[in-house]
Amino acid sequence: MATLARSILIYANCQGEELQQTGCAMPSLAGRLGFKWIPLHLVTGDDWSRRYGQDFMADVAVLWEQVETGPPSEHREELHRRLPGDCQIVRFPPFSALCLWPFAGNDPRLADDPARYPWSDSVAASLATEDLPDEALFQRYLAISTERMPDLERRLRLDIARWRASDAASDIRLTAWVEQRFRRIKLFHTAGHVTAAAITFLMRQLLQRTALIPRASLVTLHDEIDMLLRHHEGQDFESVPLHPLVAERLGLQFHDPNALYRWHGHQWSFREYILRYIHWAPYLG
Amino acid sequence: MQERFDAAFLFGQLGNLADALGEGWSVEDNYAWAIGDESRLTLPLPGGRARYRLRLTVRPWVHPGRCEAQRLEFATSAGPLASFNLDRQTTIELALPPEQTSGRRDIALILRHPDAFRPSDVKPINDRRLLSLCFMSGALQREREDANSVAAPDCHLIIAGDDQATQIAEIIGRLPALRRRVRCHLVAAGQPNGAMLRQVDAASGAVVCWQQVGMDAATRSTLRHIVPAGSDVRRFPAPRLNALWPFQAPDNRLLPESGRYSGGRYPFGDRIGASLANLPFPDDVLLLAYHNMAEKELPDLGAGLAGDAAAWRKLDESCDVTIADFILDNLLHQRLFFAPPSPTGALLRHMILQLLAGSPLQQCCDQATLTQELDFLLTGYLGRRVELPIHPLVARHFRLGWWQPDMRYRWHGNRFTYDEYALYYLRWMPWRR
Repeated sequence: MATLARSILIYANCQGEELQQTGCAMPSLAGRLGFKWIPLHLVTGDDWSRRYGQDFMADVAVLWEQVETGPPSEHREELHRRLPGDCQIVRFPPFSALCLWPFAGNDPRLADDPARYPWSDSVAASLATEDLPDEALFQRYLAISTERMPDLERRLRLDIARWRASDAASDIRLTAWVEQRFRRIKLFHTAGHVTAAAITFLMRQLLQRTALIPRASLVTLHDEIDMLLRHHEGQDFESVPLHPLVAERLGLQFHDPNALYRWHGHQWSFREYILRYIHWAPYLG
Repeated sequence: MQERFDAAFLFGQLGNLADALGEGWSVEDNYAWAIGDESRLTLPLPGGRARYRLRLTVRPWVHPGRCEAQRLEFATSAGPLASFNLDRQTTIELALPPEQTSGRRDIALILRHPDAFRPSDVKPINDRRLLSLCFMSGALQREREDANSVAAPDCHLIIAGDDQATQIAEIIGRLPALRRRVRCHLVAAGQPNGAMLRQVDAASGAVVCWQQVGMDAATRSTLRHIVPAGSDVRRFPAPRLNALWPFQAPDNRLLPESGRYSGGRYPFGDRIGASLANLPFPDDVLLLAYHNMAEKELPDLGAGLAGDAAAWRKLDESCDVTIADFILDNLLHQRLFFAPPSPTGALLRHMILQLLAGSPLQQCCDQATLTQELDFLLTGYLGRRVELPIHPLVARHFRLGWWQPDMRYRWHGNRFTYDEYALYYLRWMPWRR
């Protein structure tokens, strides 16, 4: 197979994988431009010598770099040391929304089994040892979560402050776009996993700022992104249902109380998900 | 898999320990900081005479050059219990003294943490709290005398076949009632498994084999070597449903696309779609042409279903699991297939219950529990997330009770209506996983 002339390297959390997969599926870039991804949340010291050596970096023409607030990590510094000298860098913020799942906190079961239900719900966790029929258990969950529901507007303000801090370190700004849309359309499957709408916006913004993309081809590229993502569900493999009171208090217009949410090989309602979370039930897929 | 806890503790304002935290805490929404040199924790107990271990997930407050680790000591009024030195988030465990837990409603713990320091000492912030460790969650677990022993399984279950067998193996492997009682081995068609062969040879428990009919000779030969004589062997079918997708036919555009679509872009060919593929019409005209042609060329759907039924009955004759009557009785009001070769959870459930009935596996637990667990596990099951859309004329002909005109079908990472899928297929458009 012929070596691709140029590559875009994406240094990001799992949202970067979405960008990579979209880029790799775009017909007009096939064979001309490659997309590589280094998962910033998984990269280890060994990876720099084994996987991301000189060969890996040689064709990198552009870095799409997801920013983090705070001082740069040693891995980020290592990445910058290895970039070819003329590499363009486009910085972008991560999408995140903590306010939509206010009980994300802790669960003692995660210590032994961190992957089963990684998006914790502290109210559901506190019911894990209750011996009640399912309907009574769910009603108890609703009662406690309603009673303990924090000030969501304050949580939203905290999210917005974080988004702005990330924007300030980036070439692309997300805050205004998210603020204008998150009540109307579903942008988040979990606090850190996004729908295709968010990926579409980010992909377009990044391509627009990438110098090696001819301006004349942007319309075609935007059409291809639309074709690939118009019916795509985004990062829905773990879609955590929204609490109805959260939807009500934050005025989430897209919320459907009967919606089914994908969880790996299943789709469940809010009630079905919460009961399975409380029971720490096994699932398929 | 998770051991059951006797109590779960969540620190923080949103947690369940509001009344348990005494002096020496700074509580935030989802966690609590132990502050100063000492904190008091009156931990609720479930009562009873059991011996308990306390597990706590804690994160130390460290800063390079100032404090690399935090010391933490647990004590009661009777004396010290345990001590730790923590440099990262850790789940610590300590045994609670039975003389202070047996029959009691709570236990008063003293937590000593002498290395606390202020964030304002090391960062340009105004936080002057003396922080030591952040407490996140905890649990009480009964001490088990046999904690280190691993019991041999009561049964070895060998499941042989293709993707349907894989799905059955996944389902059985996740039923809590069979956990630790049954060791499940999958023999994928054409892949002999030597390691498994040795494991099953050494087994003291019963051996049960569920074998998909129609497997290749090599797999059948592997099974003959693995399955001891006298084992409980049952044969199950891999049924197909073609009647709901009457336009199936090869499409010469279908080729493996390395790195993107190894089985081809749209593996289920459609002869109407293939014949219109290269027409330079706008989308709406192309779709209209597709539907017109589909209407004209719609085959005898009743005959198609009769053909399927004949094939199912033939399978019934060669299998221990029968499906023909079940499918014919339920097809119209319950979704049983996602695509021609892909059964839904409802059909898999029907087959698994027959495989279990009267088998040595059933002796591992009662039938009602197994059925309840199976139903809980299969709720909302999506199979392999490849749903072949059903033409509206076909759905209306059969009066499918579960079908809706605006229904969306999963296609890997996408969800299409019938028309959206048809248009992507006609144009052979790429899709994203």
